[in-house]
Amino acid sequence: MNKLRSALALLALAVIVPAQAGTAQAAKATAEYDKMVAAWKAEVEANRDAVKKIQATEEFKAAQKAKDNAKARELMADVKRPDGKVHGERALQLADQFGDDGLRFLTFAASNFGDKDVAKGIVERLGTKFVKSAAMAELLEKPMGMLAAVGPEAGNALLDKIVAESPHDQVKAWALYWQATTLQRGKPTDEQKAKASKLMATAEKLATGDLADRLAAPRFQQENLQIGMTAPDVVGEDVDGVGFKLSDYRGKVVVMDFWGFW
Amino acid sequence: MIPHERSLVQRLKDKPFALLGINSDADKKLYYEKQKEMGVTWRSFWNGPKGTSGPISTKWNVRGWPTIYVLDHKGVIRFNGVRGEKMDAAVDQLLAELEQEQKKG
Repeated sequence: MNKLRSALALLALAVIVPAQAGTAQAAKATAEYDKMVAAWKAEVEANRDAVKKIQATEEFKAAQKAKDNAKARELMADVKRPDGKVHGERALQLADQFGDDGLRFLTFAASNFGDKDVAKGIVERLGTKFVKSAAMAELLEKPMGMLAAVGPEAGNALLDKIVAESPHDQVKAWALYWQATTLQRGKPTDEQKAKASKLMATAEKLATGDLADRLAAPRFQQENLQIGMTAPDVVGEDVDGVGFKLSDYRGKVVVMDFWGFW
Repeated sequence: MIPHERSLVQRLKDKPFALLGINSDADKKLYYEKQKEMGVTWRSFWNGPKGTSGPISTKWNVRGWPTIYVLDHKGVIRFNGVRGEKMDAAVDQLLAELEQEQKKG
């Protein structure tokens, strides 16, 4: 009996200890991730501030007024740009260090650091280590910078691999969506167009959430947003978090303006 | 763009008219910083932290920024893509229609 009890206790320990180690590892990855994001944001903001400062100088204003682009560029030349290569290489290192928890570093890098070598490093790791991960869906929300940086062949090879091997419908749907989108770019031939709509249709069957909305959007526009149609209601929150609806404004002439300061 | 819309809102402040934004700045901090500076007084839906990939613009298939729809007082889409003076003219036309209808009772 005692033997059994101690065996059970040992077994419990064997299960708990690695689980705790895993949690500690995940917490560490989260801390590193937050640090990386904060460092990048700080550089982006510093850059924005520096640009603003120069734009406010009389010298810059004069150059702008005279449409002297060369001079304006020269004045901006010393502004430090956020370095995607340095941050990206760090992200690749972190991804390697944290194994299964490493995908988030690549996700942030893919949508923020426009550097060719970094993009290559991301695509390589995605193809070998993370093809079957469910969190790949998040990375595939904004992969175009990365895909463009590695070129169409390598990009498409990755997407093909994901479509073939991912067990997650949403991930597959994203990959199909980007394959179709790539085909539609520029001046597609009839064959490319047909292939793209086929991929889109397959993606639509698999997709949920935001992506399902995105895939349904061209049809939604065709069927609901034409001149002469009653606008579908919009229900949401204003910037201060107060809920309201488009239909609250019935009785008034309304200009709907999709905009941003950027 | 914003100065134009500001003057439209100002000119029509006593009319049955509303300019309604779908603000697609991912970062609300930027919005608040610029709102005062640019004199933005009109209300906007917030398109969420995904910015231009947010839910409202995604559903409406918005591909270019800004995208504009002009609705009459019944909520019917009457114009799209009108900017600047064309936007003003569209709004004036729809306000005149509304006035006409109210006169008829």
